[in-house]
Amino acid sequence: MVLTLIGVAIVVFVLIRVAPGNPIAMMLPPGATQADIAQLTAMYGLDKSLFQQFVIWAGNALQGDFGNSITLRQPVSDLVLDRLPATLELSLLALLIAVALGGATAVFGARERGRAPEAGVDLFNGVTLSIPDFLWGLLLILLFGVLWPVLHISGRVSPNLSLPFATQFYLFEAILRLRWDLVTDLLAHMLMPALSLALPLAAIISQLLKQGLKEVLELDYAVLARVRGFTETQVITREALRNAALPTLTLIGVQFTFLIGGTVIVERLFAYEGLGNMAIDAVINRDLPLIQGIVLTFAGLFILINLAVDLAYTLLNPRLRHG
Amino acid sequence: MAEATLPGPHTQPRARARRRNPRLWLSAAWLLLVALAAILAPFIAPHDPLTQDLLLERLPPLGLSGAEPGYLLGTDSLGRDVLSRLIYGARIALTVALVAASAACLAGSALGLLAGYFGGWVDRIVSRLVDVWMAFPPVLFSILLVAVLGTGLTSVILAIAIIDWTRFARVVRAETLVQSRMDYVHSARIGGASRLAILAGEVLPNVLPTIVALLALEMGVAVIVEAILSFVNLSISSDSPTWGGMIAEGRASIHFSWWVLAAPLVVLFLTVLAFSQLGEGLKARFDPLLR
Repeated sequence: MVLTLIGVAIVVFVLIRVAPGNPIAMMLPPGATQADIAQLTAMYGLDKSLFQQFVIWAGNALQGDFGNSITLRQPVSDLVLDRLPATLELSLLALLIAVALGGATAVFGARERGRAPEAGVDLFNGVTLSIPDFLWGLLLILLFGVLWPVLHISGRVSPNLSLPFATQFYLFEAILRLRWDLVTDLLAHMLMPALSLALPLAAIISQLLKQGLKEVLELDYAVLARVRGFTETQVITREALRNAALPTLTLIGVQFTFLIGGTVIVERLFAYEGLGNMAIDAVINRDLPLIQGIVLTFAGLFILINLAVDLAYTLLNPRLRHG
Repeated sequence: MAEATLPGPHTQPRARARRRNPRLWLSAAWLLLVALAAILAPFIAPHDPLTQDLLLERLPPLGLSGAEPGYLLGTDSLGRDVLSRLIYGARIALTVALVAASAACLAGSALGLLAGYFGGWVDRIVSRLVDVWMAFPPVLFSILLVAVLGTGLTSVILAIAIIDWTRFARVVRAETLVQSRMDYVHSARIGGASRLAILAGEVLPNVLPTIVALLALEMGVAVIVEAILSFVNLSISSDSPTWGGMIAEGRASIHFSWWVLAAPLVVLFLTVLAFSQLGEGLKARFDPLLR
């Protein structure tokens, strides 16, 4: 796990330093002398060997210092922490939608198994699974941004609102403060990007959960529940769901990391002020320390999620529980 | 002989497979249409895709008021014909799909086969590399790579291959692990075949259906990645029309001319859907359990 992080750090480090384009030359006004360039290069430590640079960078990073952004002239850690909450809120909202939508269609499909509605669910899943978040986002922009303009197609929150927030977790804080006007405005901005991220994941959850449910519904305890007079929906929600959900859970972990990876382009598409949107700007501006910080943040996040899923799996699976 | 004597379990899945085929043929037909458009672009495109005409800017598609005959799908903000740009855009989309996906397929499958068959340190290195690669958000990784390699068709293709080989390596490795424990591999080994001969002659043919299905899927992914790179203005130069470039333009002028976004979106939608359905269809067709 730590090895993976170090691997990611090395790959990014080498990649962005062999990149053509000199960030120092971009910082200085035209007409700067060679001496100016050399001085600034030395200031950012870019005159040392690649290996030396990496050791210095890694040493600082271990102490929480990821350097300063070249274009924005602020500490990378501040910039990342400023944007990360926006991306986390978007990803979590998307995950919530995916689980709700995928769960509901799975239960519906399992209840109607072998009949036409199940084929409908399969078709829906097949299509939503094949189309990536980027295209869903564009389609939603056309539908709910232009054709029937009910949602905002860019930004995180309307610029004319005054925000009382103490943290960058806008949606979370707005809910806690019971400011429903702000919640509505935030959701009107976040719903489309979240839905585009959620649709492919919803299809995966639906497929897997439906399969699991269908298998569990053949087992004795499901039959017994039916004999005791439970309706099919009750059998599914009260008895089958818990047991069928476990294999789905491990899969959600990996898929959630894919979803977070998707925020990069979806945030760009909706001009949402998150980490991914900033990452694209950082790459275009050759902002080496910022790119490095953002990529490592994503990698760390992915690793944490996988760890959390492993833990959750152990907690939820009675066979892996200790005494 | 066995097939003739065992009608039940053999004919039923086959009939089912055939009924599932429409999506395979529909997908193939759409992709053939796109391929024909790409090849015949200079002959079938009604206009030059690059000619700007400010007198004809933002013409709506035929059927809407203000439309101009001869501009079936309307024009963009510079007066360029949307249909012609779509037709020419198919060239880059398909080139990227074919070349990038094949390159990713070759590299990834080779590494997956070696890792799955030989195990040991080969497997450890490949698996570790895959882990590191998977810890990158792929879109960010591709943007980073194109920034490093410089824009242009070759860079886009290279970037896609460098990122997506893991998709093949992961699946092929797992499949090879399963296959190399099969009896036929053991009997080939007892028969005195060399390890490489077994890998190429026995294991590969059995992993191939999986690879082919993945390849079709990957072509759809490559088309999307190219569109995304064009969208952030990092793909091919603006002289050659691309679907992603059209989408970027359409997104920017969405409140004035929605069709500039809608046209490439529909084409991308159908193409990606066709590639993935082709992959699924091929998988079902090759699967010995369904045959």
